[in-house]
Amino acid sequence: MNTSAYNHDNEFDLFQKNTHAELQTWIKVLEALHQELDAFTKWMSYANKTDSALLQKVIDKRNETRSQLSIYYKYVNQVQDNRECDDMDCEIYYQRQHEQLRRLFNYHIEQCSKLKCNVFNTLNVVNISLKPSGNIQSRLK
Amino acid sequence: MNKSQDHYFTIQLFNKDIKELNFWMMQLEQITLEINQLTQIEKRLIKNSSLNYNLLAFRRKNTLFLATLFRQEQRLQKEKNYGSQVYSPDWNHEQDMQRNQFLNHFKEFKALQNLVYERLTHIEVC
Repeated sequence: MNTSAYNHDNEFDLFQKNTHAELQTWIKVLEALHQELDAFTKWMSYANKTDSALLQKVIDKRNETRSQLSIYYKYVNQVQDNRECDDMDCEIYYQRQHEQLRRLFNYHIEQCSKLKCNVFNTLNVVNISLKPSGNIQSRLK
Repeated sequence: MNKSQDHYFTIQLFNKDIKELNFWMMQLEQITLEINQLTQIEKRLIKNSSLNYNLLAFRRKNTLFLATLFRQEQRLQKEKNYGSQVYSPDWNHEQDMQRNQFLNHFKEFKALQNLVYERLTHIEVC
């Protein structure tokens, strides 16, 4: 779908183009998040000292991200059908649907960023506990 | 643009742009937080000064971009409340430009983040 605005576009065309462009951004952000969580799971399962509850949380979030992505892929196709609307009610219906998805997306991103903070914090804690022993070993050599 | 622009949709268009900008700002704030954490990790685990420099440079760039977005949001709020009550395509072009900038910025951050993660996995495996 062409998302650039023209002078002959009316407000609803602009609205629809914005929606489509915004959705593409969401999908890109979610794809990046999915990759990141995937990297986390791989890397946490390799590490020796891993909190299994935290690992499970990361895996759950990764799966949730995947399911959300499938929702957005479906929704992108649906957005293109919104042009068929004849009256204001129909337009408002799609607009509300989009706002609901926005809330869902924002909530998910917020939860994921909190989880990422937790992972980083545990990394720092593990590091502090490992650091002195590493130094002692190097001194012994 | 049609002269008889629907008032309801005009306000909605402004609101939508503002919400999108707010989301980008939230993401950039999150990026700043993550860079702070990655810097700590770099100091303790990776110990690579060029990576540290890159992280700090990116944090600076991030702050500047965040300032641009804040200014744009203020402009949009002002136009919505006190402007001519018409959403011209220029606003849309500006929003598209900001969106592309945000996506490029986000990609750059992901590349930097991947670099840190790669080194981190290397350390963990060793």
